[in-house]
Amino acid sequence: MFESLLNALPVALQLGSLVSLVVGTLVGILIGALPGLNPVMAIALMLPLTYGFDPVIALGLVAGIYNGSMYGGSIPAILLNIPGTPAAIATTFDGYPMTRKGQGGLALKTACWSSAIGGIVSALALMTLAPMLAKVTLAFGPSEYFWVAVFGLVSIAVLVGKEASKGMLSALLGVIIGLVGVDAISGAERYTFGTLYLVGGFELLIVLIGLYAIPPVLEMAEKPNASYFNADSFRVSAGDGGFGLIRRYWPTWARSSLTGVCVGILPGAGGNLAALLSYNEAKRRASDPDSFGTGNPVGVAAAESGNSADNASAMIPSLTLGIPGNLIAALVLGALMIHGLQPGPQLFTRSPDVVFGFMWQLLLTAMLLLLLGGMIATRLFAQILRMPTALLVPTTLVLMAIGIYTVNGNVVDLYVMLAFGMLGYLLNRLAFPLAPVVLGVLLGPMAEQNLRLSMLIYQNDWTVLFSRPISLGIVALLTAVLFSQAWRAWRSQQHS
Amino acid sequence: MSMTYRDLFSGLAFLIIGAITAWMGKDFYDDAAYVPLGAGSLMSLFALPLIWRSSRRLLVGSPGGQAVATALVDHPGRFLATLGCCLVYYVTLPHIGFYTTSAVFVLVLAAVLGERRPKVVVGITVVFITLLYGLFAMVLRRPLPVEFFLAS
Amino acid sequence: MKTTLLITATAMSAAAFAPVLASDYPNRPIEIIVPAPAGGGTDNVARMLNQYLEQELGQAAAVLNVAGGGGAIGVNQLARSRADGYTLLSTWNSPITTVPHMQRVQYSYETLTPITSTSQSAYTLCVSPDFPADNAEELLTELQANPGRYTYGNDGVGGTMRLAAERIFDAFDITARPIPFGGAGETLQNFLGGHVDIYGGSITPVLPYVEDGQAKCLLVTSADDNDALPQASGLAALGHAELETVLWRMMLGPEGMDEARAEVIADAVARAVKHPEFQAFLADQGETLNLVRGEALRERLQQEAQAIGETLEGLGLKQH
Repeated sequence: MFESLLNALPVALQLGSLVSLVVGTLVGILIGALPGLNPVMAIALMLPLTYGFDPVIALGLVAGIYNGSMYGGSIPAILLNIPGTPAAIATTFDGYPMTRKGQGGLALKTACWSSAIGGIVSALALMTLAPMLAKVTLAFGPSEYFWVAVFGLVSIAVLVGKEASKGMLSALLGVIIGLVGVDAISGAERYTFGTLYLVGGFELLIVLIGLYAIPPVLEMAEKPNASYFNADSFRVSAGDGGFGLIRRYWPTWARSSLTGVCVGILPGAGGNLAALLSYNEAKRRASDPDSFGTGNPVGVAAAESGNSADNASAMIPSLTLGIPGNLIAALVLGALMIHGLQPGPQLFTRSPDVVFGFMWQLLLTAMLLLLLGGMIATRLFAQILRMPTALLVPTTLVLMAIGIYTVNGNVVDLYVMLAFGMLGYLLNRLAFPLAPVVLGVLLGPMAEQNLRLSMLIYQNDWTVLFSRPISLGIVALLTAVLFSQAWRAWRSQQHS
Repeated sequence: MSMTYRDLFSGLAFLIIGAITAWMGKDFYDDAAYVPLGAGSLMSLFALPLIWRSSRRLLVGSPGGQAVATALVDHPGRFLATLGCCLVYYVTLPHIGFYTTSAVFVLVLAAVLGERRPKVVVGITVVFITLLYGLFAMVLRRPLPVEFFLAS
Repeated sequence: MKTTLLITATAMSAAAFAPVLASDYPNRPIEIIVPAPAGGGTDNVARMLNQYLEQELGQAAAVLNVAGGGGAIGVNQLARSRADGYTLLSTWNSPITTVPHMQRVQYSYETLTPITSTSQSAYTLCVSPDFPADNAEELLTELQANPGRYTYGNDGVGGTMRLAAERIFDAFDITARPIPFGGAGETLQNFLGGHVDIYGGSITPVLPYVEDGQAKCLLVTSADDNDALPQASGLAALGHAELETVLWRMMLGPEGMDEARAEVIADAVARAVKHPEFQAFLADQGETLNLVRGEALRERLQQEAQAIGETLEGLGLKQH
């Protein structure tokens, strides 16, 4: 296997591949940075342009957009408090406060390095452990997936905000939003109130952009017109070079990358969950947990390395088994099939150059981020943000409109986005955390469907949820998180 | 309005939403009812401590942990003007075409929000729309609502 | 006199204008709605066809994935869009012939403009290598002997796969427990992990596992056998050719689309499918060409919708 891996390196280093990697990474950073535009759309639209070329070109483009957008999403999250992609939610927690404190440059640099490291670790995991990790994917049945979803939802609801009960209320609100529409298992309509629009349910991206992107824009609109930034916020001090960052963050990067890789091999969970779990873990382990949320760079490092480490590992089930882990992986499989390559276990032996070349490409784009990311983010976006807010507000709103419109080509989605914007604004002012709402929309349906599937398979035998070893492990982990949180809360009450 | 009142109201709102969800959910077919019922009841349950704590603070008469929080809306005029412009934008978008409507929207909202330098506004709008056109018409080739002067 | 002249003039100019319109079409990019997520089977075939369709039409054709509701969301959107021939639908049969029996929708095969069908393939039932059956008859006997014991993964409640299986099981007096997954990928994952006993779904995803012996495919839901799966029998071999339920793909337009424009598209598709690369691609997927256009296509849709309605009624699944 390692021989094929080495043989594929020249394939990934040929000129066409390198050009597509650079173009892809640049487009990816741009798409990720524009709120509303998402990498799935960009890849779906750009792939057909490459059908005429070698598959290596198509895959280079995918790898670039994929890794580039993961970092790109952090740029507006840090500068404007608007996550560019769902996975960048956790980056807003500390990234934006850093910008407010005049450390925007440092935050961007931290995000760039963390994304690159996460991406590199993930690509290495894909290269060396793919067949082994694929077995883990198969060991997860419906009851295990149910517990993964519950673990993600509950641990984040409890840990993210200041009050656990408010976090749980937010998460449940998300779960209820996720219930709307046709039930995937029985085919019955739920909470549609007779409207056809609601039959399709709410799309995660629309909920996310509404809840997260509209409120900061409205808040900006409410302030008197002024220049948003001055150049000072982007100055990076001498001690913050690459090696300085490595010395400070390597334990965080190691933990978060591991979390990201683990979440990645489970189809359906995604970078969003990886980033939030990594952020929580960093906060839980820190000696100063209260500084998280007020501009602690460790928070940015954890979130960004977590979501980028999800990327390449999400390709493991699709490359080794032919089962797509997310929409982008599905597009990769589609591109392979259009080039006449059949996904599945034989792919490694039949077209090793393509598969291993793609792995190298994922590794190379992660490294390219260091080169391209810092340059673009600090130079270009800093210039854009010198615009007066009276122009920044309408241009951002146009970007969100075009992004949401291109998801389904349906204008009603825009009104729904605005309505979720109002909800997000209100929840902000009522001091409810928003991240659990988005996660509820994502993980609620996953938890429900897998619970019901396992009940169907095991004929309503509830004990199956507690009798399988992996399930028990996740339950134990959840209990540990909840107890340590309760212990902390009790201790801090004793102190005050 | 203090945070205590807000907690009380949001607690009550979640209590009601939870109760309605659970009540509607109980009629769903078989196993489609489990989660609606569960999530609704749990929501009502978690709303109770919020209501209890805030009402106790109100009854005791202490101003509560947090003093007066930020206003619910900082500047209602600008807030509503932005919302209004958005709605008009969304309504006209499919009929007049994407690029035309967006350009007008940027120009108008910038003026409404107090930008008074015509050169800056027009300059940025033109550059912005050109870049969007470049991205969507050239790179991504994604059809958007057609301009009214091009529709057949 | 004047009026007649005017009318004649108008009629003449209209007559002169209409062919111009048809020959002028398409003069800007076309949008093709695919009511399935990006990267799925329907999407792959649509995108592959699209490449050659673009060449034949001389215009860009962008695929827009509108997934959800068993495909109904995307078809609803097409039904609402302008019938100017610049928004088309590339779909498989279940959103048109099955889903309207189960959900409220804004369309029916009666209103949508039929353009042309493109290709078709069967579904297959596969079991793990240690399953006590090596051909279709043994599989059915084993299932008959153990009612309610085995689970089979399928593509969900509105999906044609489950319907195909239930029709067969009904005829052979079999009770197996359907487990509705989100699609063939999810079904395959759970089948390989041993979480369900039988894989039910399209042929392509499971093919590599047949080759390396991790799956035995014993039955296909078409009347004929399938060359890609030598171990599997078609329904004709089992004496029940009438139970055939296949997956087939087509292009449709919104209600009231100009017939001349529908012809333009149908002709372009007929030329596009002749490309050897496309035919090789279809063969890899285990699909065969099947071009039925215009009213004949509507006829086919109507027959299938009625047959499926009756089956669903028999199963107690029909809701609308």
